[in-house]
Amino acid sequence: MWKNLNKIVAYILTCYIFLQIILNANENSDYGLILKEIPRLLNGLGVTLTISFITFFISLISGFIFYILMRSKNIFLNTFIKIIKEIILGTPLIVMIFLVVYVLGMKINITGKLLLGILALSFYMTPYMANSYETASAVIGKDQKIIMTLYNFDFYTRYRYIIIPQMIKPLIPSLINNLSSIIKGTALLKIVSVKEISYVITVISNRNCAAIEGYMIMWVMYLSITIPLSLLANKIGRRYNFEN
Amino acid sequence: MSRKIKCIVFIGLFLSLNLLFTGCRKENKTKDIIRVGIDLKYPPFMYINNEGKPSGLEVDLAYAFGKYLGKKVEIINTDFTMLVASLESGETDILISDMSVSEERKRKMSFSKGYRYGKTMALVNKKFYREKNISEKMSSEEFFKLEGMKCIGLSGTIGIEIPNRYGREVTEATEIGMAIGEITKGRSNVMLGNYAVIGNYLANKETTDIYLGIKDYSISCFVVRKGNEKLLDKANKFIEGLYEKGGLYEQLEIKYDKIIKAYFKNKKMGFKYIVEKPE
Amino acid sequence: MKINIKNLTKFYGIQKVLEDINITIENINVLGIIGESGCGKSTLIKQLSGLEFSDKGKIIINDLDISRQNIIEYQKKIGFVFQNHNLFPHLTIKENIMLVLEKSKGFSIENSEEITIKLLKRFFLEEEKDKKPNEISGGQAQRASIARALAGNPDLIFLDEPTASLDPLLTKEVLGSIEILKKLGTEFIFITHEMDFLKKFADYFIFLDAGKIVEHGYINKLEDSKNIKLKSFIKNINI
Repeated sequence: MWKNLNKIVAYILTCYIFLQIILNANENSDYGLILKEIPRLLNGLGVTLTISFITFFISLISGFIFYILMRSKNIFLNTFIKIIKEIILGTPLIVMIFLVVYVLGMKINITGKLLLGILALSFYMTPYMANSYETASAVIGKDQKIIMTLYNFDFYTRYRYIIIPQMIKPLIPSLINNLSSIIKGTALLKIVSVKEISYVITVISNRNCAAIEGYMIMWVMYLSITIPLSLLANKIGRRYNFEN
Repeated sequence: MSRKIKCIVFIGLFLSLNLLFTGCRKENKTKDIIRVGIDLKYPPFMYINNEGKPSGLEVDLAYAFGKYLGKKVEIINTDFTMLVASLESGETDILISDMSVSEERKRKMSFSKGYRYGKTMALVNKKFYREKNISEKMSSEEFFKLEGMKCIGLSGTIGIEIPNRYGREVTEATEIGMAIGEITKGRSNVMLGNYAVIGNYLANKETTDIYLGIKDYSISCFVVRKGNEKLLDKANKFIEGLYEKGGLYEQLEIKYDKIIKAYFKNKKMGFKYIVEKPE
Repeated sequence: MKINIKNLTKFYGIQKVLEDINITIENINVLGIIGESGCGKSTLIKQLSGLEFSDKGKIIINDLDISRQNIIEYQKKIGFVFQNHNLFPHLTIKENIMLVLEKSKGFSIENSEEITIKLLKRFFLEEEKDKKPNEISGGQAQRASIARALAGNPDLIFLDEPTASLDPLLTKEVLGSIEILKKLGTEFIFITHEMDFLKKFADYFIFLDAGKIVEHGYINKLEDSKNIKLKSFIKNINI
């Protein structure tokens, strides 16, 4: 009984603090200035979600390819990919967006900002995904590798039957984390005028001189995506544990 | 016993957090300092000089206003997009940053009389400029009727409002650098802005040109929080004094006229060009 | 089996683990390798099974030179049982064996299933077929591992201390299973500390000390050996 009471008090306290921050960030807050544009806000939400999921799936694949190449026996490939990984990991997302939209985009003659934005975000996330696979694959002990070598399992057999099935469980929390990073990362796409949440709110709040209200609403909107995502991840994580 | 102590600590934490959010700001009563918000990225008007000190026309006006009030001046360098927020939160008491008055802005803040006037200019992609035979002789109406015009503008500025007024759609950009990139590369061909546009043109002479035929002009004022009537009143009186015979503007003209003409690379655009109301 | 080793040397980094091993053995069925911990027996058995390559020297088993080549062909006909069962933890023991039959030995799914069930029956594991390795006892897991090693009818099976991680009861259980196999004519090379089992099961022994062969011979020679190190070793084991 005490346990539940403690939980409830914790929830109430954090909600209270959260609301206090929002309502007191500003004297004379006028949230109506921004909230009157709810259709555009919802539109922005849709764009954010779309970009996030497409990027997630692209980087899931590109990250896996990266991961395989990182373990290649070919020394040249191995080293080449490792250097590229360090460069991408060290590049801030804002710079990556600029590079893809204004340097790469010009070279390959693509102008669609949405497409280029997704590309930039996917490049950015690829090494993080690769690292997730790397960490998850540590689950496979040396012993299993010896057996796979002894029985001369080919690439497909190794990955499809032994490595990937065991990697999934430790991989899931890591992937959800990456998805969360992607969602927050989409906020930077505003600099190339992609109509996601932060761009829409920046434009509306600039028009109405309501910068503080804008950021508060942006905060709430992102939390409304990331918190349910986190709860979902926990639920999946618990289900997997029960299955085992 | 330890449970009681925990409860007390808890409640204490709770109350102090409460104070943090509601109480703090009321302490910020200006004593002998007036905090002025300026975006110091625009030489020669508002910038940081080689010794790291705030300099320029607006900075001089800020210090003069402080003297007028009998208060010390603290200049708070703030990015344009955050100026309003800094005023609302109390971080600054007044904005002297070439901020123009508009209906939306008046809802949130109070504006003084005009101390500067800004002609609106358009940065035009050179190819588009030549193709459409644009020149100063072209009227605003003709200009905005041009076919194939792709407008881009900095969100929340006249770059958006004015084309909209003439019935044109504008892509809103949140970064000035990116917007200029669009113009030089030809992905958009027209960007409206204030005099700062000239700097962009001079930096990209091969790919851009300037159209000066837009009649709309902006009025820049000192900006204070809504309800701060006292300060507003003083600001208005100060600004009136600037224009009077023997007023500060006469001295500032001597200091800045040549510099401003050099900035615009145009002998006709000097100090008077920016502080006098267009006809 | 016929074993021919010439000047076999193996380094792990700068440490010499096997030094100039030379031996020729013919016409035996079961070879036992013994020695103190760290004497190099695990390394030797890895060289002999092709799991590792030597740095110098030659290994010829049953007239096949496996020094640094022919490994894939060789490994098709051998089995290996490790000290830790090394079964795939996410698969049932039935799946563990079937996977090897299908993907390594090329059997069809139906045949694999049939063979697997037969193998499991032989080791009294039929009821555990749908259990994962962490759901059965250590002894059962090790028996399953032996069953897997038999998949594909190998001519030669290697066992690296198969009962080292088991208690005496389970040890007896597993050793019992291995003895059954001898009757089927499979040949073995194994490492063990179980002296009784060694004497009962092996035809020939090799005693290693600090990476060198110190004593070797037919099993009946074990007790009679005059070698001080070997005598001391046997005495310690039997305590």
